[in-house]
Amino acid sequence: MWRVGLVFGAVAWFVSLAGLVEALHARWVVDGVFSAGQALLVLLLAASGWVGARRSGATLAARLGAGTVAGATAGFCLGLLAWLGAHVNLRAMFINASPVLFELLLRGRPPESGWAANLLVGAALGLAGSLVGVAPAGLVRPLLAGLAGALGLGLFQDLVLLILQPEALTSVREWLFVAGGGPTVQGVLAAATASAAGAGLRPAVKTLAPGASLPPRAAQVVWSLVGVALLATLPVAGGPFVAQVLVIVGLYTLMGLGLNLEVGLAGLLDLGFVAFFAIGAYTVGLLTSTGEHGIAHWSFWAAVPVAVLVSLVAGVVLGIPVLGIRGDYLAIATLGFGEIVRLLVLSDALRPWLGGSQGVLAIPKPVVAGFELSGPQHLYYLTVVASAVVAYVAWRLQDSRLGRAWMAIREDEDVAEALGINLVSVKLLAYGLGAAFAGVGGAIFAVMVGSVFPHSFQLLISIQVLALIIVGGMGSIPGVLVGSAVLIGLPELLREFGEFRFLVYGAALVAMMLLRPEGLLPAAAQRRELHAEVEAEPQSAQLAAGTATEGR
Amino acid sequence: MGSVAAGAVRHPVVRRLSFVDAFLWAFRLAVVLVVVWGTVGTLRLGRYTGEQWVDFVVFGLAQGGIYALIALGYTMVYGILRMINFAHGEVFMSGAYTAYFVAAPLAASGFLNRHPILSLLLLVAVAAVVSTGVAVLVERVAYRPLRRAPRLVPLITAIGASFFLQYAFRGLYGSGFKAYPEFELFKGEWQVLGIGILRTQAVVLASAAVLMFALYQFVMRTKVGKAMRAVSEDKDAAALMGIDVDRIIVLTFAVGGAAAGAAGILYALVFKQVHFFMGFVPGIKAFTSAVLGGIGNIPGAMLGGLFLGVVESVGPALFLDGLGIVAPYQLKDVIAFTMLVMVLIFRPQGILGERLAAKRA
Amino acid sequence: MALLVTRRMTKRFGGLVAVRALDLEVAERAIHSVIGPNGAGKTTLFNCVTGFYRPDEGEIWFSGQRIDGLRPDEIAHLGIARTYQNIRLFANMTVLENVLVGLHMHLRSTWAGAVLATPAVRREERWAHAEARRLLEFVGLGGRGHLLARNLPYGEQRKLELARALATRPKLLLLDEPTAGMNPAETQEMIQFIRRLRDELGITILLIEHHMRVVMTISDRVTVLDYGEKISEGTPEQVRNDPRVIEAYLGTRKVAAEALG
Ligand SMILES: Nc1ncnc2c1ncn2[C@@H]1O[C@H](COP(=O)(O)OP(=O)(O)O)[C@@H](O)[C@H]1O
Ligand SMILES: [Mg+2]
Repeated sequence: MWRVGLVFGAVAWFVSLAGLVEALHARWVVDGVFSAGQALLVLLLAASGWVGARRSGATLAARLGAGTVAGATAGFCLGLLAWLGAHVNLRAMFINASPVLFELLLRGRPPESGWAANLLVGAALGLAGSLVGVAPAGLVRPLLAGLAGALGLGLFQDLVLLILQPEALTSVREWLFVAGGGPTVQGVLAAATASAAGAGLRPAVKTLAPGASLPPRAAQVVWSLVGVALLATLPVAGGPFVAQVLVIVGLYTLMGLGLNLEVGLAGLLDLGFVAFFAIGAYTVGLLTSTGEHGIAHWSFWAAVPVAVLVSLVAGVVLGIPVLGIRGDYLAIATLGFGEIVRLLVLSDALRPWLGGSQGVLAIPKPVVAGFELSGPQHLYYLTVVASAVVAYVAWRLQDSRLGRAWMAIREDEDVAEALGINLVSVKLLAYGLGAAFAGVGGAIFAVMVGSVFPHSFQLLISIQVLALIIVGGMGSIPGVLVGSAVLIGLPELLREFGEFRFLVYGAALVAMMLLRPEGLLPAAAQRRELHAEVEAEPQSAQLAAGTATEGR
Repeated sequence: MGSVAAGAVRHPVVRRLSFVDAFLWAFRLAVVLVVVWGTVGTLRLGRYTGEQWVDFVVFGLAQGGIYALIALGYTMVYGILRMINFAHGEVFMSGAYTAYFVAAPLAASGFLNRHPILSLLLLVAVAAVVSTGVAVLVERVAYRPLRRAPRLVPLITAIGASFFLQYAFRGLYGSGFKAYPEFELFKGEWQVLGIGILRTQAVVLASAAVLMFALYQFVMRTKVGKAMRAVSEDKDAAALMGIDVDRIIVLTFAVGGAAAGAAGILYALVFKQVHFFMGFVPGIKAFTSAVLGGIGNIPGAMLGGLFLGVVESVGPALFLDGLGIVAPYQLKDVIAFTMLVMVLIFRPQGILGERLAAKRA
Repeated sequence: MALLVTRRMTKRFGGLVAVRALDLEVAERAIHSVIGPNGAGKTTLFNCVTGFYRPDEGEIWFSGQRIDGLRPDEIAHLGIARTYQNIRLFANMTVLENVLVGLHMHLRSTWAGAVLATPAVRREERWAHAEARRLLEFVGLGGRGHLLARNLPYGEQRKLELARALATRPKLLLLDEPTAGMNPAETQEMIQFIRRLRDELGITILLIEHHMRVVMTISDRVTVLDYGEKISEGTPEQVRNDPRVIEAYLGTRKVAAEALG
C-alpha cells in the first residue's frame, strides 16, 4: 500500500513544484484559515487513503490500515519535499519551489518536525479517506457533495459575489464572505450543509421538482422555458464579465458542434479544425473592416453568410486531399493543413492582403435596427441564438440518413461503403458542414474582438475543442455544451487557474479515455443502453477484443 | 459465359477519372510547378554562391540528423504498437530541458569548457535518462491500459499526454526560453576539403551518425533488438515464442526515448536555447521523416530525416526565393508541413516502402 | 443465365497468389457454395467481387455488366451485398440503426431536407423505420431494435448482419461462413433461413462454408478452391467423390475430409 502512497506522493510533488498549489493558495476556502492550495494537498492525501483502502484486503481493519499507510507514505513524501526545500535551493531548477510553498508545507515548523507533522497529517487524512472508501454510498454521496459545496463557494467566489452584487443582498453577502476576502466559516458550513442536504434529498427533490407530476411532453416544455429564462437573464445578472465568459463558452460550443460532426459522428479526427474558425473570422474581417485591409465595408449581416459559405468550401477543399487517409494519419495530415494555413496567414508574403502577424483591424460591431451590439452582454445574445440554430441543425442531421451514414463510416468505413454509401460525398459533407459551424463561431469572434490575427488560431484551439467534445461525450450534442462549460467556462472563472488550464486539458483527455471514454454526457444511443450493457458485459468485452485484433 | 458477354454493354476497363482524382492531380501539379518554377527562377537570379548552397546542405544534414534520431522513436513504436506516439516530441523536449539545469552550472563553474567532450557526454546521458523515464512513464500511464481499445482512443490519450507534458514542464521549469551554454571548442569552422563547415554542425552530424549506427546495431544484433523486431512482426507469435511482449514494448519506448533525449542535446547545440514548446515542431517533422522513410522502417527513418532536413534547409532559397516571395525563410515550416501532407496523401507507405493493400475483410 | 461471372481472375498479395485465374459462374437463383481449406482464397474472392480489392488480372461480370474496378458502393448499388467472416456490425449503433444504414441507398433525403424536416423527409423516415422493423422481424430480431449492436449475443449478431445486407435488396448475397461458431440447432435454423432467402425472395446466394453437412444439404453447386486455384466444381455429389478434393482436404484438414465422407 505504500506504493499507492508513493504514487500520490509523486503527484503531490508534481502539483507543488509545478506551481498549482501555490497558485491556488492565493484563494481562500475559509478566509484566513484554509486555502484552495491546502485543500488540493489535503484531497490528494485523502484520495491516497481512499485508493489504498479500495485496493486492499477484505477485512475492514486491513482496508483502514492500508489507507492509513498510503496516506502516511504520501505525507512522508510531502514532508521530504519540504525538508529538501529547506536545505537545497530547489528553485535553481523549479521556478515554483518558492518560499511560499515551503511555508505552506511546514507552517512555520523547522523542517525535521515539519516532516513528522506531514507524515502524521498524511496518516490521519489517509485514514479519513479510507473511511470514505468503506462507508456506504448513501453516506458518501452527501459527504462528497458537502465537500464540493464548501470548496465551490471558495473557488467560484467571484461568480457568487457578482450574483450577490445587488444592494438588497448585502447582508447575505456579508454573512457569507469576509469583506475583500474569502468565505466566512459560517458561509462555508452553510454551503456544505446545503449541498450535502441537496444530495441526500435528491430522490425526494426529483419527485417534487416542477414538471415531475406533469406528462413528459409538458415537463419538457416547462424545463425548456426555465432554461430559456435562465439563458436570457444570466448576462444581466452576472454583468459584463460573466457575459464575456459565456460568449467564449458559446464560441467554443459552436466549434465543438462542428468538430463533433467530424469526430463524434463521422469519426474523422481533424486537428486542423481551427483553420475553419480562422477562415470564418478572416472572411468577416476582410469584408467588414474599415481599416486598411478591408475590401468591401459590408455590414456584419451581409458578411456572415459569405463567411459560412467560404468556411464550408474551405472544409470541402481541405477535405478532398485527405479523403483516402484514415485514423491517426488523418489527424496528422489535418494538423499539417491547419498549420500550413496559419503559417501562410502569418507570413510576410501574404501580408499585403491578410495583414501578417498584425492581422485585420477595425472590424465594426454588428448593428441591429440602428442599435449597435457592442459589449459582451449584447454579443452574448447573438452567440446564444447562433449556437441554438447550429445545435438544432446538428441535432436534425444526427438523426437523419446522413447522420447514420456518418456513424456508419465512423464504425466501419469498408462495411459502410459496401452497403452503398458514397464515402466521398458523405465525408465531404462532414468536413464542409463541420467547417461551416466553425465559420459561424469565427464570424462572431471577429466582431467580438474587433480584429483578427493569426495568433488567435493556434493548434491549441483545435486541441481544446477536441478536449471539450471528448469530456462532454463524443457524438453528444448536450455533451458539447457541458464540455465547453466545464473546460472553457470554469477555468475562465477561476483566474488563478489560467496558466494551468492546458495542463488540465491534457490530463482530462488522458483521464477520460482511461476512465470514462463515453464522456460526461454520452450520446443518446449509448445512454439508452446503459442497463442493457450491464447484462451483456462479458460478451461485449470479448467481442470488442475480437474486433480490435481482427478488425483491420 | 458467352451469354453474359453477348448482351453486355462493354465498360471501358480504365476507370473514369473522378473529380477527386482530378483534384489530387491538380494539387500534385501545382506543387511540382511551384518547385520547378521557383528553382529555375532562383538559379537564374544567381543570388546564392556555391559555398552558400553547401552551407544550406550541411545545415540541413545536421538538423536532419536530429530529426532522424527523434524519428527512430516514432518508427519503432509504430512498428510495434501501430500507433503514433504523439507525445514523442515532448519526450525529446523533456531531456534537453532538464539537462539545461546540469549544463548551466557546468558552464558557470568552467567545467564545461575545460572538459567539453566529457561535459557533452554527461549532458547526453542526463537527457537520455530523463527522456527515457518520461517515455516509459507515458507508456505505462497513457498507453498500456488502452492496448485493446479502438485506434482513436490511444491517439487521443497521446495528444492529451503531449499537452500535459508541455504544460507540466512549463509549470516546473518556467515559460521562458533558456539559453543553452555554448562550447568554446565548437565555435568557428573546420576546413573540410577546402570548404568551411561550422563546427557545431559537424559535431551534431557526427554524433547523430554514431548514435544511429549504434542504435541500428542494437536493433539488428542484440537479443533484445531481435525480440523487438519479432514483436513488431507479429505480437501473438512472439508471445508464443516466450517473448515478454510488455517488456519489449517498454524497452522500445525506452530506446526511442533515449535517442530522442540525445537528439535534444544536439538540438540545443545547434539552436542554443530550450523551451517547453520546443518539442512540437521537431516532433512533427520527425514524424514526417518517419513516414517519408516508411513508418516502421528504421533505416528509412534515418534517410527520411536527412532528406527532410536538407529539403527544409535548401527549400526556401531554392524553391521560394525564385518566385519573388517576401521573406521565404518564414515559410520553411510550410515546406516541411507540405511534405508531410503530400507524403500522407500520396505515399503513406513512404518513399522506400512498397504499396501493400490494406487488409480488409 | 449466370448472374455472376469471373473470368481468369487473379489476385496477388506481394508474392502470394491468393486467387489464381479463377473462372466461376454463379447461376441466377442458385445457392452456390465455395469451399476449401483455410487460406484457400475464398474471402479474397468475395473481396474482389464486392470491390474491396481490385483483381490484378481477369474480369468480373455481374448481370451483364463488368464490375471489376468499380467502387464498393457502386457495386452495392448494382445489387450485391455481403456478410463477413468475422462479424462486422456498426457496434456502437443500435440494431435498428444498423438496418437503417442498410437502407441508405434506397432513401433520397438530403441534408438540407433533413434540417428543414420537410414532409417528404418525414414520410421517408417513417417508411424507413417501418421497413427496418419488418426486416428485423423477418430475421427474428423483432423487438431488439433499440439495443446497441455490440450488446447482442453472437447468434443474433449474425442475424443482424443478414438483416442489414438484406436491407440493400440485393440480387446476389455473399455469405462468408454464416454458421461459424454456431451450435447444430442454430446451424439448422440458418440453413432453413438461407433457403427461404432464395425461395421466397429470389436472392442468389454465394456461400462460403466450412460445415460440410451444410454445404452438401443446401448447395446447388459447389466450387472447391485450394491455394487460390479451382480444383473441382459440380454438384455436391460430384465434388464429394472427386479424388482431388479429398486429397486437398487430407493434406490440410483431416476432420473436414471425414466430413466430406
Ligand atoms: N490484405 C491481404 N494482404 C496480404 N495477404 C492477404 C490479404 N488478404 C488475404 N491474404 C492472404 O491470401 C490468402 C487467402 O486468404 P483468404 O482469402 O482470407 O482465405 P480463406 O478465406 O479461404 O480462408 C491467405 O494466405 C491470406 O493470408
Ligand atoms: Mg475466409
